[in-house]
Amino acid sequence: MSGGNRTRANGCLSSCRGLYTREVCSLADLAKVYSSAEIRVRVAFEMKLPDDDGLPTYDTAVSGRRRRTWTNRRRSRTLFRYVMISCILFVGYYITTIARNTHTNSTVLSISKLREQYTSCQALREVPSGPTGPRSFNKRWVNGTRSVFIRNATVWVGEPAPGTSEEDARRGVGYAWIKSDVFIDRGLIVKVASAINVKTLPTGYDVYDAKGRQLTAGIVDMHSHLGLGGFAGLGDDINELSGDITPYVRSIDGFNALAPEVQWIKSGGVTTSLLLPGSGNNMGGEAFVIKLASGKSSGREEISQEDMWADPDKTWRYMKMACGENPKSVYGKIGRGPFSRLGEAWEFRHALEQAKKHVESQDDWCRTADQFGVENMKEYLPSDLQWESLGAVLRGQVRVNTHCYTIADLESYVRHTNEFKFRVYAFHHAHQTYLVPEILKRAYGGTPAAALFADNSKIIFDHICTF
Amino acid sequence: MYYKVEAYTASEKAGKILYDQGITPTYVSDNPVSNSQHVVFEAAKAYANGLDYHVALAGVTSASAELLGLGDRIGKIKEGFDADVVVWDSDPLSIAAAPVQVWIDGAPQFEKPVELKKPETQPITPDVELQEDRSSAEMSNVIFQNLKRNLLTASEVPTSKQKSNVIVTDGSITCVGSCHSELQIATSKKYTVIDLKDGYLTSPLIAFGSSLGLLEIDAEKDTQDGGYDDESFARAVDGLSLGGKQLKTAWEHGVTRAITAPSRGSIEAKGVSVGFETDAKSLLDVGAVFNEEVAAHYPMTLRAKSPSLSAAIGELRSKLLKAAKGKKKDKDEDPDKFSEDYYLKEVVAGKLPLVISVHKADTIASLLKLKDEVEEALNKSSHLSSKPKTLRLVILGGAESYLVASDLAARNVPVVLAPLLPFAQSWDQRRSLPGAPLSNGTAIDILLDHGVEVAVGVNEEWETRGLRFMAAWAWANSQGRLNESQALDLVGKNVYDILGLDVGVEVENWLVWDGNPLDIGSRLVAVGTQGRVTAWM
Repeated sequence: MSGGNRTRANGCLSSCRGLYTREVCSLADLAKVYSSAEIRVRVAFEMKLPDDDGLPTYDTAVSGRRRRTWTNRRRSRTLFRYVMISCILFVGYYITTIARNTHTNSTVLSISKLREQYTSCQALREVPSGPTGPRSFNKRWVNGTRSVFIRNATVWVGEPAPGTSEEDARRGVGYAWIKSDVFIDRGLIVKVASAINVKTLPTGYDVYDAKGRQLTAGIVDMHSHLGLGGFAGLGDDINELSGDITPYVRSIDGFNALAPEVQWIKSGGVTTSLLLPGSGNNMGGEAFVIKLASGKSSGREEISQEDMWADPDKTWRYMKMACGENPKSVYGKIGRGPFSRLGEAWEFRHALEQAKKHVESQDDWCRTADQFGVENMKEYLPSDLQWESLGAVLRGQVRVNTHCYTIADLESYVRHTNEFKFRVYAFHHAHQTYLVPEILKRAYGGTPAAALFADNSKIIFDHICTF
Repeated sequence: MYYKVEAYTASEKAGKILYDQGITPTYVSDNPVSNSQHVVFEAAKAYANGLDYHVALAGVTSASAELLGLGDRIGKIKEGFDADVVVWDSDPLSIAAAPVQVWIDGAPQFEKPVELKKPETQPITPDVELQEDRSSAEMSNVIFQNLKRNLLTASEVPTSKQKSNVIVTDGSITCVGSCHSELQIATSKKYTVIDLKDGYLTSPLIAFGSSLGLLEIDAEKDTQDGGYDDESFARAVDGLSLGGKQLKTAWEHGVTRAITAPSRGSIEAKGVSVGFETDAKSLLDVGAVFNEEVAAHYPMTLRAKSPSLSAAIGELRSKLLKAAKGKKKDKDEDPDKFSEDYYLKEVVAGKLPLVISVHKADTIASLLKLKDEVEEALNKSSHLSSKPKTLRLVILGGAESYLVASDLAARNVPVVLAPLLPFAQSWDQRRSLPGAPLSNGTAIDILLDHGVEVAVGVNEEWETRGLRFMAAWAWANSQGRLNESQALDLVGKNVYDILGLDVGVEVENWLVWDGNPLDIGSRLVAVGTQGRVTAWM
C-alpha cells in the first residue's frame, strides 16, 4: 500500500477521534475498523477522503467527486450519534489494545527500521532557526590558518548602532563608517574595536595595516550561476530542461569547484553566493549557498563542492522557481505545456499538491506512530524523493527564491503561496514589484524581498539561450 | 533596461520605491548574465538612483545574508561572525572600487594582490538629494550658477577657485566664467536661474556600437529592424526607429547621439552605420541624422563563422582586393550606389572607415595582416610620390585587443572597447583582464600605454545609461594615464576622431552636471542640443 493510501487512512482515523470536525466514516466502515487495523486502512483508502484543509485535492479535482454537504441535518445528527458511540467504543478498544500490547508487529516489517524511521519524524517537523549563538570557532576554519590583526581600518559594521530606532534605521540613520581595528581568529571576527591593545591578543598573528582604508563584510550575491555555466560559455549545467517541474534536482551537483570565475568574482569582493539553478523551469531545483574559496591557494584543504558549503551545519535549504516568460518559451508547443502563464500556474499548483500529499502522508505516519507506537505501524514511513524537497518547502525548511517579472506573475505566485502555505523569501529580477508592493505584502508568511539589477542586465534570456 | 517585454516597465528607481514601501531591495548579478565581480557596483548605481547609501550597501551584504537565513553568520563586521572581510581601495559604492585584500573564514585570498595607485579618499557622504524626484522642463534662456569645472573639450579652462556661471541664450552657451555684464543682461531679461552646488560643464556623450535606434526590446523581434545575413549589406539609416524608451533613456543620461549599424544585438554588426540624435522624432526632421553613412561594418565574432572565421576573413579580403583593383575612371565598373561593392570602394579610397566587430586577439592579428595585404595592393599601383593609401580599420569590441597592442599601435588602428570591462562570457573573450587585485589594469590601460587610440562603446543598449560610469571607471583606475577631460573623451570626442567625424558645434551641444560626472553621486541637470535646453529640477 502506498504512502498516499496511508494518508487517507489516518485522515479518517483522526476524523473519528476528532468526532464531528470533519466528514465521518460510515458505521459499516467503522465496524470493520474493530476487526482489523489493516482493514481499517483499506476501507478508509477506498473512501477517498479529502485532505485536511479546504482545498480541492488532486483526486477530487480529476474525479469530479464532491464533498458531501450537510444538507440533511436530521440524517446527519443520527449519523453523528452513531459516530460518537463508535468512536468511543473504538478509543476504548484501542486503549485496551495498547495496554495489552506485549506482542510484536505481526507483519514482516523490520522493527529496527521502523524505529530508525521514527527518529526522522523529529527532523521532518523541525523548522530551522538560526544559525545563531556564540561560537568558539568557525566550523569552516581550516586549522593552521593564522590569526590576523587588521589595524587602522574604516569599518562599516552592516547594521545601525545599538539603540537606533527601527524607524531611523529604515532611513539609513545609525549606520556609519567607524575607525576601528579588527581581530580575526579561528575563522571568526573576534574583536571589532578602535585601538585594540595588542597585549590582549593571543600570540602568533599576522598584522595587516589597512592604512585607513574602508573595510566591509564580504559581498553576498544572492543570485549567481557561477561554476554552473561553464567557462567562456562552454558547457552549461544551469537548467535541467528534462521537465518543467524539477524541484528534486540540485544546483550543487553541476557546480565546478575549480571554475576560474570563482577567483575573478572574488576579486570584486564577493565572498558568498547563492548558487541558483536557471529560470527555464517553473521549479528549477534546490540552490546552495557557497563561499568563494576553493583549494589550497584560497586557504582550503581541498577542491570540492562540500568544502565550499557556506553553512557546514546546512541549517537552511534553498530552492529556485521561476514564473512567466522563460518556462513557457522553453516548453510551450501545441499540445505540450506549459504553453502560457495559465498552464504555468497549473504546473505550480499541481506540483505543490503532490508535495502536500506527500507531507501529509508522512505527518500522519509520524502522528500515528506517536500515538500507537511505531512497532505497531503496518507500513514504513512514506518516502518519495520526487516530492521530498518541495515537501520541505511546505514544511518551512526551504528558502524559496523565485524569478518573477510581471504583475501577473507576481500576483499568481503570491496566490500559490497562500493556497499551499509556503513562504517565498525573494522575487528575483522583479522588475514590476515597485508598481505593486501591496501584492508582495499579501504573500504567505512574510513580505518577500526584491533581488534586483540596478539599471538592467544583459539579454541572454536568463541562461536558457544555450540549449 | 528593456531587454524583454516583461522588463519594459522597469525603473531604475525601483529600489528606492520598494524600500519606501517597506520591501527590502537586494542587488544581484545573475552571473554570467552580468559579471558577479562587479555586483557591488549594482549597489552603487542603486545609491545613485535614489536608494539610501547604507541600504544600498546592505543590499549586497547584511540584507542578502539575512534573506539566506545566515544573518548571524555573514554580511556584517561583528564579533562572532565568519571572518569574511574586504578591504577596499576606495569607497565600495564609488565607481571602480576594488578590494586590496579579501579574507574568507580568516584566510587571505590573494597572495600578491595588485593595489592600484589611487588617491586616498574618505567614505562617501551620502547625498540625500539623490533621493528627490525631479521633473524636466524645456527652456532656452538659462543662467547656471556655481560652475566648478568647464570640461568642454575645446575650451578647457583651468579650475579657478572662484566659481563661475554658464549663460545660455537661445539654447547656446554665450558665456562661461564670471560674465559680469552678460549676467546683468540675462538677469534683467529674467533668464531661468539654476543654482548648482558643484557645476560641471561637459560635452554630450555618444553611444557607438549598440543597436540603439534599430531595436526597442532585445528579446522581441517585432520591435527590431531585424538582423543581417551573408547577402545583406544594409544602411542603418533605412531602418531607423526613433522615439522609443531606449532612446529617451539614453538621452536622459546625457547620451545625445548614437552611431548604430545593422545589428544582431551586442556588437555584431554588418552594413553601414548611421549617426543620429537620440531625441530626434522623425528621420525627416532637420538635424535628426548628423551622418547618414558613418562606416562600413563587418562582424568577426564567433557567430560570424561562414563557415569558418578563416573563410569569413578570406571573403572580406577578396572583396577589398577586388575593390582596390577596380579602375575608378571606368564607368562600366562603377558599382551601384548603396551596394556593398560601392561602400567597399569608399573604404579602399579611405573615405569610409572599416569597423570590424571582434574580441579575439588572434582574429585581430589576422585582420591586421589583412590590412597590410590590402594596403600593399592599394599602393602597388600608385605613384611613389603620392601619400600611401591606408585602410582605415577600426576594432569594435576588443576584449583581447590588449594582447596585440603594439601591433595595433604600429598600424594606427584604433580600438573602441565595447564593453570597457569584458569578462570570459564567450571563448573569444576568455583572456579578458579582470583588473585589480588580479591584474594590473584592464585592456584600456595597456592600449593607452602602447599609444593606441581608444574609445569606449556600447555592447548592449542597457549599457548606454552607464556610459559616464565607464568613462569614470577608466579614469579612476588609470593611475594617471587619463585626466577627467580625456576620460570623458572616451565616450565623446575620441569616437568622432576615430571615425573621422565632426564633433558638432560645441556651444550648442553641452551638458551641465551637479557634481563631477565621474563621481557616483553626480546628477545631470541640463542637456543642450541644437539650440534646445531641457533641465531637470
